[in-house]
Amino acid sequence: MDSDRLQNNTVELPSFKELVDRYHSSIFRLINGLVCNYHDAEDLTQEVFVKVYNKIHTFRGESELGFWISTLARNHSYNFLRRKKVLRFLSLEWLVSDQKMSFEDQSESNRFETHVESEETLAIIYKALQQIPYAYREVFVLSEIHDMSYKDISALLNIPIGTTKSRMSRAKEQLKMVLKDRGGEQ
Amino acid sequence: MKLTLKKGIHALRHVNPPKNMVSNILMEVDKRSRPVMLVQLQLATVMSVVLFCMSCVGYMMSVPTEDPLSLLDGVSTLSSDMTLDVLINL
Repeated sequence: MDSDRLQNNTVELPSFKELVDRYHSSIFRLINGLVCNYHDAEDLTQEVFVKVYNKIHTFRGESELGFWISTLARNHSYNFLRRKKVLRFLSLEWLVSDQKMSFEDQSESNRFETHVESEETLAIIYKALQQIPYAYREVFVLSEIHDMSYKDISALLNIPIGTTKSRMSRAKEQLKMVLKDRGGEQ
Repeated sequence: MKLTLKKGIHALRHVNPPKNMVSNILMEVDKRSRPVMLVQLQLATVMSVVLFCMSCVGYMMSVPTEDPLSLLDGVSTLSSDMTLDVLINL
């Protein structure tokens, strides 16, 4: 591989290493917020950057490079979750009570070293995020974790700004409700 | 444990990726883009075809070289004798 040079005739690009250095943390956090699992986020981030490397020739420079990578990351996470849902259905895990499943998910996320102040905090917020609809979750994560503007979120998700705003407010409302049920949010 | 939305957002914003992530990504891209991979794949295909051919030849060698129809001689005689017996008994 010639990782120092990215092939694109339209736009001048940084080296691949620079690109990974610059974006890997934010893309990892975005994916982590969307899939709510540290280990999956690690694998998916790696796959997204491999995709970036292979598809960089299709980048036309019409948007910012960060936005383009974020779009790839969002689509990749979405496909992953859809596949996981189908696999879960096929494996008949859905027959097991939701209570048990969420406990397993939580304990799995606890198993990994997350380098944050509290793994318990993460486990609770992951669980809360999983309890709200995906459409609200992605707007919330793109805005609050990935620092994207409503305009960019609307462009990425191909929805009007009004819809983005209303999804965001519902996401916050529902998350507060979920956390309140746990005795946290007042 | 009690948690506010603000604290939850703070936790998510401060999750750090694994320290070796950058090197892992670079290694993965390097591994996937190497033409050696393709050569190895082709070599594996050729090898499996050769092995298949060798096993076919081995199988054919193990089959008797006589005319297979000659093996049926006894059978046909037997069956004709039996037919005669049946006819005589009738």
